[in-house]
Amino acid sequence: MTGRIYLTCILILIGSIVLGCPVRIHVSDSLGNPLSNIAVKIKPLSGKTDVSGDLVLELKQGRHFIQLLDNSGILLESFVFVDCNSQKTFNFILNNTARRSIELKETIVRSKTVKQAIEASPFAVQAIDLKKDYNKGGDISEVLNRASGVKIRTDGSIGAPVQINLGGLQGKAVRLFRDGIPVELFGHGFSLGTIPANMLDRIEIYKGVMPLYLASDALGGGVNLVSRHEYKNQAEISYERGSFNTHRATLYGIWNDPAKKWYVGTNSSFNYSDNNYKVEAPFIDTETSVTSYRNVRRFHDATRTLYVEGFAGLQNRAWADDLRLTVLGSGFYKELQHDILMNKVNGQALSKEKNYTGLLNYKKNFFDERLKVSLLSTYSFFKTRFIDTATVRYGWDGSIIGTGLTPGEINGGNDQRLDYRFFSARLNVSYALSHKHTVDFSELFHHQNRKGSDPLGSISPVENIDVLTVPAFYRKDVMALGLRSTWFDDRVESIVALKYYHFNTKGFTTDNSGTGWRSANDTSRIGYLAGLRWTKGRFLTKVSYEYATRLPDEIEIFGDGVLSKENMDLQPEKSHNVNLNARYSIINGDNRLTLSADLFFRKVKDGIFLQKDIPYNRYINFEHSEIKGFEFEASYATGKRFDLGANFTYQDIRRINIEDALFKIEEGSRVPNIPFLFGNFWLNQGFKGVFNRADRMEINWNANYTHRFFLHTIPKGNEPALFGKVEDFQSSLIIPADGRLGLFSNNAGVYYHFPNQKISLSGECRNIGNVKLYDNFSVQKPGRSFHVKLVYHIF
Amino acid sequence: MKTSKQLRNLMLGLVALAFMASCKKDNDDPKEPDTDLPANETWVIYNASAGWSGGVYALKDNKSREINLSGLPFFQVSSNMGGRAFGKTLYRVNSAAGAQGLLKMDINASGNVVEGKFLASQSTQYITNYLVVSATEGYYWDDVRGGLKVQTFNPTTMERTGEIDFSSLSEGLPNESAGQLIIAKRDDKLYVDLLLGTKLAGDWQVTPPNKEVAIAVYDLTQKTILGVTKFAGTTNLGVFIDNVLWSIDEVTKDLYFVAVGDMKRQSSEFSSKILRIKNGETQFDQTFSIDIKAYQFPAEFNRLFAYNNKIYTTIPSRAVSYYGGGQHGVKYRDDVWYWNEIDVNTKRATRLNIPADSFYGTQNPFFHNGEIYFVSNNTTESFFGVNQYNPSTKVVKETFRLKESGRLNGFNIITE
Repeated sequence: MTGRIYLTCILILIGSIVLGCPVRIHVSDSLGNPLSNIAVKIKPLSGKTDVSGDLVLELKQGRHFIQLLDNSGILLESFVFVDCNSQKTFNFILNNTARRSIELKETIVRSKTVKQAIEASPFAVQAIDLKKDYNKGGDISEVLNRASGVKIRTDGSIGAPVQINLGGLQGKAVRLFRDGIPVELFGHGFSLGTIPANMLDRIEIYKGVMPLYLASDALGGGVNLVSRHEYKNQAEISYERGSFNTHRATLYGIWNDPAKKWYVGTNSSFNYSDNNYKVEAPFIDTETSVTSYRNVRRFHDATRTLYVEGFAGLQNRAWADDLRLTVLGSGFYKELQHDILMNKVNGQALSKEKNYTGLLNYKKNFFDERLKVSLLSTYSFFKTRFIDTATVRYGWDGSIIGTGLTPGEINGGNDQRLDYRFFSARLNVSYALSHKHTVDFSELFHHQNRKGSDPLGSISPVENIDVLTVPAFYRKDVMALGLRSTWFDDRVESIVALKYYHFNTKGFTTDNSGTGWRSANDTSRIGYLAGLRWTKGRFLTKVSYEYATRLPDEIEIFGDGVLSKENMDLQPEKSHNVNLNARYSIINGDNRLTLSADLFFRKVKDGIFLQKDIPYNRYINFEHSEIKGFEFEASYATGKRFDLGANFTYQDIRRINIEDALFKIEEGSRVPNIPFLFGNFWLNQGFKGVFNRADRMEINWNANYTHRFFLHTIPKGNEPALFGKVEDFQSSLIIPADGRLGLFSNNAGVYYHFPNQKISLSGECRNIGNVKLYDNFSVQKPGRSFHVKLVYHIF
Repeated sequence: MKTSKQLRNLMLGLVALAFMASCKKDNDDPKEPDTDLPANETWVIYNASAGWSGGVYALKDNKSREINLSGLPFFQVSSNMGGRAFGKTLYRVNSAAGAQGLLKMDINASGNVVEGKFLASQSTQYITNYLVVSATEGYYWDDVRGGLKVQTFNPTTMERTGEIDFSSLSEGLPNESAGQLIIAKRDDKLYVDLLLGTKLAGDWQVTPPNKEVAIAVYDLTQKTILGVTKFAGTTNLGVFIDNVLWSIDEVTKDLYFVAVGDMKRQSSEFSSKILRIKNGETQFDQTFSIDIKAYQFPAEFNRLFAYNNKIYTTIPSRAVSYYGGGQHGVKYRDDVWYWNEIDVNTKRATRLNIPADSFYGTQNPFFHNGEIYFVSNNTTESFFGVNQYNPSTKVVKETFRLKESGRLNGFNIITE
């Protein structure tokens, strides 16, 4: 059934034609004050600017004649050129002279892209425009990893969990959204490690303070993945073939009816990989039990994901600006090759997931655009399975080395089935008090139920029942109320806001021995934030502060059902976040040099960390820590042909205020297992007319460096110098553990755009040096790999 | 131009800040040597953080009664549950990173603990029980090589040398093991726990069909299984591999074991007991048992050291349950485990004047140079250290305590 719907969408898309896109006309006076009620005519369309001086019109791509009028007559006549590939805003300034006379001229309009608009907000935010990356292979985690101040950590295989480190905080402290919705609701089929760039328009990285519209309980910032939504009809397919029998395919399409009253589309992907890259693995001699290491292919890590999304919407109605229904289904299958150390090897354990979600999104502006309302609700069904029932054991060459053993390669055996029901709703209301002040309100409500079974899992000692058969629920709501203001002709923008966080949960918790008992938790917190942005000439300076709270999420409380167990006693983690940003640009014709720096400070209390233990890991509140860090980025570009740049980040993350004298030896020590010095370098060169006057080609090289870091705490008294040798103690618990000072890797790619502008073909080589790379202690990432990608624009 | 300079200065400042923050600070805190301390002893200390990781330290000239480990050389391990000393060599379960097996550690010329050879277990779980008898004789258990087989190894080369097969004792039950939790050697005989039963869903202990414990006795000279001795009324000899629950009284040569019972259900009828195989015997002494119910219940014995007809173990000051009363590690690991001396003849227990322990560390007491040493971790009294007890004079003396240096999860003495 899903397949038929999917096919129908494709057929509809193929039959579409190119139309226009929404263009924002902004009219202000010479002091920057927005001018309302100004009539705008662009034949055959017309309208009046609202209280913010804005009017949005759907225009076809190309050159248009525009007239601005008021009661006295024509105020301005000009031409605008609309390019639908970038969302446009055209600013018109009317001075007194202009308002009295008719002037016919062609205006040079510099419009802000969405990226520029986002980055001009008071928050420490970076937007990555992905349009130029659609022809690049891999997933978006690789793009994200190159951003300033961001460190992505993964086992390396397709489908493996991906962790974001941002401003010294990582894991769940950094929230991940898609179009403002927690990304977990889209299932494992839609995650940083599985989705190619083709599925997104851009990535917004909020470093510290989160915008109100996300109503988030992020502790140290977040990442919002913004979906593609072109305003012209479009259909695009892509296919990537890579090493390790890797296949990736995407399909994106949108079709708007000519009257702009409704639309349909799809945004889907498929991934498969054997993940059978070579790793250096331990082999135990049959006779002597002496360990030797050999390079061997992984044999049980195949991953398959399918994500199918279809959407349809009504727009430009009297009762709704946009009403969109999205239906999606995703599947995830992953074999589990090894434990967190790569010492234990599995040959049969696997996990599966199926997910069906419906989303309804309503947007409407009222009262002459002064009141903007957006309501989004989702309902999801998840079914997960974790199967670890093997009674045999495997060696790293795939041979069976033991038979007739107790079930379970990973733990004590699991045959787990879990059913989840998620309901999530978000309300955003924005009201313009005046042209300078706007009140924003956001509310996020999330509820989930879980019920399942595991005949090999935890049994409660008192009731003697399978703890997973007891329904568990988790609920949270986050509310935010804020005021945005602009001052001094928009040169200064400020924001202040209050937040309210609440969650409650009830279910079973188990200990490391598999014992379980009933437990419940109900907690609420207040938070607040403020931000200030000041622009003057080529300088952009921002300062922001948030007293942030992050509520434990369902995985941390209930466990992942595989390797981590529940902890119902978890408390929210809190942090004082301060960011100071500065950016300076030097522009000389087509040459542009941009320097930016971010100084950040975090003071975290009750931080939640994954405590590794035997046989299960567990999330715990982990004391207090202080983070002082900075990131720096420099980039230079010549036109659109050439650019190069580098960034690096240093974050000094240390445990402070240890209350228990017993553990004072760790006072001032680095919080372990977090990279604290890393950076990127990149170079892009574009060519035109390589084989044909109308073709294009780009070459790209990028590199990444991550300085060594320790897996466990090193007392400050024993800490080696940043670039010094480890002399005061002996430890093999370093990443990397082979004596290197850090990890350096580099990738290169060639991208060719055919003259017909419909096809692009790319070839990439990743980890050119075939270097042993590690993010998660001894879990080796893939070596050198090759990837070819084809992108075809159907229309 | 002015703004460019400001920006440049800001950048330079930031870079300088970063590098200053990374500079190492030396810990110069020389301590006067304590002349009261035995100069010929090297103290091996295993400390642990809240997450169980820690270091193995060797202190010789820098011993003191109050030890701050900060700045001292150490060998780092991801999970520190202590170790065992044999001569000047140390052994522990699992590698520094946590790979299953046995790790040898040495003390180098500088007097620091360093990583030695590793004997890998094929097991995927934390279950590699072992015994080091001499530099060339050692035993361990590896379920993947066969639950009813005890592996032999050379503790110097850390290479497996063979196995002893107890498969003939199988009764065809789902979970069968020999030597999983007890491997003891007395004279030329090996005593291993024989556990034949079923691991029920949600349990980590194996439940035997009959409420009894069994020891299989193997004659190392004749290379034959001498037989199986059983004791009814309790179950489950031993509890986990870093928690050794057998002891040979070096004066009487009697061999003692702890049967912990079913720790989930804590049946009064089959409660935890200390049992004995007397010197020269291969059968349980059916006339002897020390029942935890005589001192506290529900509870179980979880430490064991025998010396001169005295048993040294912990008895909790209140009823405890590994499963009940809330999260494990909170209630079971309260400061309730008091060190006691139990006379094996009268079974009278005498509480020693030593801070109660919390069971974070599981090391047994040991005899050295006329005194018995006890490890305690006591949050209430802020004591994380060792006391020594003279069984003749009954005098207790504090050996040392750690200062702000984590929990003490193990302690060995190496004598020159």
